[in-house]
Amino acid sequence: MALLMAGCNKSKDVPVPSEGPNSFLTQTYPLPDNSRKIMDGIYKVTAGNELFGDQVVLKWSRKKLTMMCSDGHYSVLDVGQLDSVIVIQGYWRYCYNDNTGLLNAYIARDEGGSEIVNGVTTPMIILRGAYGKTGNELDKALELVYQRPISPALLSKKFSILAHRSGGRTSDHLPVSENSIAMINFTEGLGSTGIEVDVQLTRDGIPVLFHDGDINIRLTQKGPLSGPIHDFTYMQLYYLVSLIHGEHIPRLNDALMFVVDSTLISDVYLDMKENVNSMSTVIPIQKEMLQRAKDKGRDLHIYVGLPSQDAINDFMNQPDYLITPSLCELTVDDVVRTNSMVWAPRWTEGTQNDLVAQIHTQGRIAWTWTLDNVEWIKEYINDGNFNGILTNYPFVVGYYHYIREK
Amino acid sequence: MKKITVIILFCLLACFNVRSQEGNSRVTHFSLAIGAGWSHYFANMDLVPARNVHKEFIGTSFQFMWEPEYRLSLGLETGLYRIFKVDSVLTKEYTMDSRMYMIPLLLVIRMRIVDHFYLSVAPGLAIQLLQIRGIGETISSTQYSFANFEACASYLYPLSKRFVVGGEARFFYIGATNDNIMSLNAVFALRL
Repeated sequence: MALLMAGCNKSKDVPVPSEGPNSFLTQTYPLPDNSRKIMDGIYKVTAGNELFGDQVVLKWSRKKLTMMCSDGHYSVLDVGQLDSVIVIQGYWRYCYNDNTGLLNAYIARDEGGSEIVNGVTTPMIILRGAYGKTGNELDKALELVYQRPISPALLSKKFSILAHRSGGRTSDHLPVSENSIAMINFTEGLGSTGIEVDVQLTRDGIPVLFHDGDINIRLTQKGPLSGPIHDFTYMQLYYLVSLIHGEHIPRLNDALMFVVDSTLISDVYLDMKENVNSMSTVIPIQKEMLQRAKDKGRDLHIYVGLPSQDAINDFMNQPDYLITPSLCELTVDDVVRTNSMVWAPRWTEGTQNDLVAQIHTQGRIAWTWTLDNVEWIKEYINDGNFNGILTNYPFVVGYYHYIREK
Repeated sequence: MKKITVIILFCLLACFNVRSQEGNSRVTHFSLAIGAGWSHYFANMDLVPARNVHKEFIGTSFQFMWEPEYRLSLGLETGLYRIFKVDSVLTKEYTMDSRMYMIPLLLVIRMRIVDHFYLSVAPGLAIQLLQIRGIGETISSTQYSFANFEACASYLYPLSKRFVVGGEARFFYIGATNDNIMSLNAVFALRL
């Protein structure tokens, strides 16, 4: 019984190691976009192999440099430059447990720093530094040597790395809550290019992002409100509920507006938790945000999820359903019937290359969900033909995708 | 041979057990008990200042017990407890209050430790009823908690063969919301 009671308590928080406000990075200047792209590539690990393996991928997102490793280790890094020296600071994590530590590095002026700052492509980049395994120590050597760029042929074809629950799960001890605007802001640093969000309606019919059916202590701070989310109005949720890291439960409208205005995310998958009577509320928001993205010149796709026959029936009752971007999780026939742009079977059904090829010939795309195991990710990327993978670990998908030659 | 020995030993033990029951003149009986008293909520809310949480209420319990053995008894328990009432000041214009009630449905395992003194544990379900008053309409919401646990210490003094009075102290843990309450109840029981 003691075990039962202890097991019901929230697990510990995992801190994000940081140099703090006195970090040397605050004295540096940001890198311009053309400099950042030069750093993207495949690097050989010549020191630090015990943690990061023999090869890593470095890839810039909107504001972070992500180091992706083959086994689930990753680093989220801030980068600046001073006098042609590239300064890199951040932390590493292992996605399958709560191991974490600091990582600091630099690229010397004569080891690629000058070329990167000046926006000149160079075959020689050496990243030297250190990382620690406990607390804020930096006692292990790190050295990465640039091997090659990410294949241009690969980058020319769109492949979506979709992060689950707006970017990552609360249960993975990330520093922000799942299905929050803070997570949408955070997730690109993990290597994702798209997100899946869970959509439910409140009592007063406002679509909000929340995964579980109930307000509960797994996802929210302990407060005076608990129970089914559709029992409460948005105002009640706003004032009486905070997500586990203190954020409000976001309205779908606010979350999508943030995606459009403040991120480079290119795909949003609206996972409809309500199977009936939600399409008429959600689709107008989807249209409004797609128009907003278009007005801003953003290449953004927002797909309404169709996870069940009830959802399909609700969807097909909408007047413009044939031209509404949607994602169908059921059969290929259902995809055709609903004119969904995306077919998204669960990963346990296999790579299904024949059906994926059939989808491709129809001018549609195929994603699979939710793939987290390293070996399966590797297999699905190397042997499958999906156009995207939904995962809790976008850096793992990113590693195996970006190391491909084409 | 080993199997046969085990079987013989088992039969002998079974016989001895049956004989030990033969001499027992105690009559198996059932009892109904009702309790009422003070309950206290151990406030653990992150979002609400402790001063806004009302913690002391009146709680009631009902037990139906089957007492087939000398020391152990089994039974079912329910009751009604108010867990908390929270006053929330949202803005200068708005206030809201939420009240949580709980109806437990428990399987009770009770053991007499010494004369008139009992300890019991009770796992089971809890129905949680939440009522919110404030902005907009009054809203009631129901949720179910499946991992709950109660521990109880009782002193039960028989007034006669049929009537028992006493007191009990109980602690209740509600898994779904991580809430804890304790209560001190006066108990009246009727042996059927």
